[in-house]
Amino acid sequence: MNSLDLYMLGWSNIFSFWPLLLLFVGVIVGVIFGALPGLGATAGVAIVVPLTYGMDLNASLSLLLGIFCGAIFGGSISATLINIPGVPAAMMTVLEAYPLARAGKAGLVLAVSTISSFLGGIFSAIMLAFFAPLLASWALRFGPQEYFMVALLGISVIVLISGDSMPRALFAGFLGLLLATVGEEALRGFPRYAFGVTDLRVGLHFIPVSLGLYGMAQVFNYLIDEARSGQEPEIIRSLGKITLPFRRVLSLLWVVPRNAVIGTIVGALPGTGATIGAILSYGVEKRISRTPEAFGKGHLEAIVATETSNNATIGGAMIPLLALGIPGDATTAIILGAFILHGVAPGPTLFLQQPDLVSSIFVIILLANVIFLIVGLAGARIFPKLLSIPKNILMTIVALLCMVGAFSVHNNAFDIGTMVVFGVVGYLMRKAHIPIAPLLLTLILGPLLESNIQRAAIIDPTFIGFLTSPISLSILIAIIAMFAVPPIIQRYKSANALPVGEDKETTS
Amino acid sequence: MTHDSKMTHDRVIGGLIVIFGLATGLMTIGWPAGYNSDSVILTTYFFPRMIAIGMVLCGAWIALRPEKRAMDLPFSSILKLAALAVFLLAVVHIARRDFFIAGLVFGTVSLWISRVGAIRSILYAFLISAVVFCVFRYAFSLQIPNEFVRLALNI
Repeated sequence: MNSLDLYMLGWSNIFSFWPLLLLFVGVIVGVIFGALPGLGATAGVAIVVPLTYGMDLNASLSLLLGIFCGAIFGGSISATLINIPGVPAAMMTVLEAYPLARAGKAGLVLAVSTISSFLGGIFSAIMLAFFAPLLASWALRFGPQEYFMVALLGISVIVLISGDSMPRALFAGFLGLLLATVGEEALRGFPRYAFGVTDLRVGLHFIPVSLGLYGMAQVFNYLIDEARSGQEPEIIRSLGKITLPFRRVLSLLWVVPRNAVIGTIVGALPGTGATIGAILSYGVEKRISRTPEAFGKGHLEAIVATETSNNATIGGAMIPLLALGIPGDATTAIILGAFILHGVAPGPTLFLQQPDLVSSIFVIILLANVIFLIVGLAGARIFPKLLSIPKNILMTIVALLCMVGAFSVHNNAFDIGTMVVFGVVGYLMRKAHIPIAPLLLTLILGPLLESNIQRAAIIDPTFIGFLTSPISLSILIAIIAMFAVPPIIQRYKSANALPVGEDKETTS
Repeated sequence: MTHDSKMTHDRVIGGLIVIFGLATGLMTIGWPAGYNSDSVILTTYFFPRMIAIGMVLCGAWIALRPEKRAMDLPFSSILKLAALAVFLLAVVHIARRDFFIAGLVFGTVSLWISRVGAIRSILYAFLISAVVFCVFRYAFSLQIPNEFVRLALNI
């Protein structure tokens, strides 16, 4: 089957009633989850994954990717109207969008965010369609050593960039690995950390854990810290004009390509995600801007940069997920779980067994971006009302959805209990400034790590293969460099820093 | 919050992590090596012990090099968290028999905590629980327990 046939098959997979309806519903739900602070793409996808059990893979991917795309875009709505990022990826948008909204340009900002997100998403979908099969064909040469190193790379990156405390991020990563060992060990069936509880012998499923960490923890946070205060954020309701002169539009469009590339590359790196894409794009844009002093006071180019980049990470994150089976961020980690739920193992063999799947995903992301473009432009006047939903009602709904989602895994109330326990864990982790994303990623990658190192040990007990394989060795060097180089650079800078008050002219 | 109390928070967190890591490592004592114990990597306890060592090192790092982070967790919040967790586990127990009643109980308490009046809390919780239950039971065909409702309605 040639490429054109595959793309036509992908289109026909998605262009039918249920996938299209679910895609539309997913985008709307995603926009709501992204716009309402405290929820976000990961919680939205985690809550909905269990509901996709009875659906076929194309329908469930339509729903989940619709939520993902809608949520990342939706974060810009609350960033603009209430000065709070709806998703972490909108944290840089807040800096520029809210000052403009206060100046009566909220409608313009929302329109610019929508179009930028759309263009970034489309670009990364095209990159996905082109690069994922290439990477997968290369990955067919991977053995257990290479898979182990790629999984380790993903874990290393997310540990490095999660939060600003390496030991805390490392601990979260180890905790996820520990949770992944709970249950019957793969080689012998020995029950590890089961404490005689039958339900623990099957291990901890990622769905109740992720629902607890992301969904229930937010509910706890609200009930314990916010509910009694009764405070609601001030919402900007007047949107103003949504038009710009044509020349200004052209000048903004110039910003899109470089940030779409940045976002796609960042998304494709295992362990990074939309937040890193947005931060990097903001930094680059500020550096090359002719008016860097205007940043932080309402700079439209900065909004274009961050919104293009954060949506571009979505297609990018799907590249390592589909080609290697390594998730690009926490949300794609849950989507990986959805694949496994449907009996599909992402990786290079996926392209041999289901070659039309990449085309289907490309079509889903394309259409999701079209849908939120229409929703974003046509529905802008509704967004202030959306943000007026009382948080107490919302959190009650989220809690009940989390309970249903956890129950649906094995039709067992034990999983709801697991979710509650991890809700407590998630709440405490946030209070202790311990990032959650590394835990979720290592929970999902842990079995891959352990099984591949065991396979490597069986094939080559001396482990010399890790050093003789060029791919494995390159990744190992990259991991060591990632941890070792920044402290060395920091020490060098500190050692060469001049005392305060001196500069190069006075010392020469 | 003072500099010293922030460092104390980090030392406490680090200490707890060290204890947790030691406990998980000690639990692996007595686990079988397995049929092929020529390679220690193939034993049941290799990976968990490596993880335990990693956690102990992380905890020691945090405790010995505190980063002066304030943990915004007053004792009252810990009590509230414990009470909520116990309440929710009781709700889970109800959910085993009837999900709708469990949702109604949880929703009522949750809304009442957020300063919604008692009658309105019950009404909103009833509506939310009913919608969620019906959507998942009948639209998604999820076999959610509803024993008490069936008894009450004599179905």
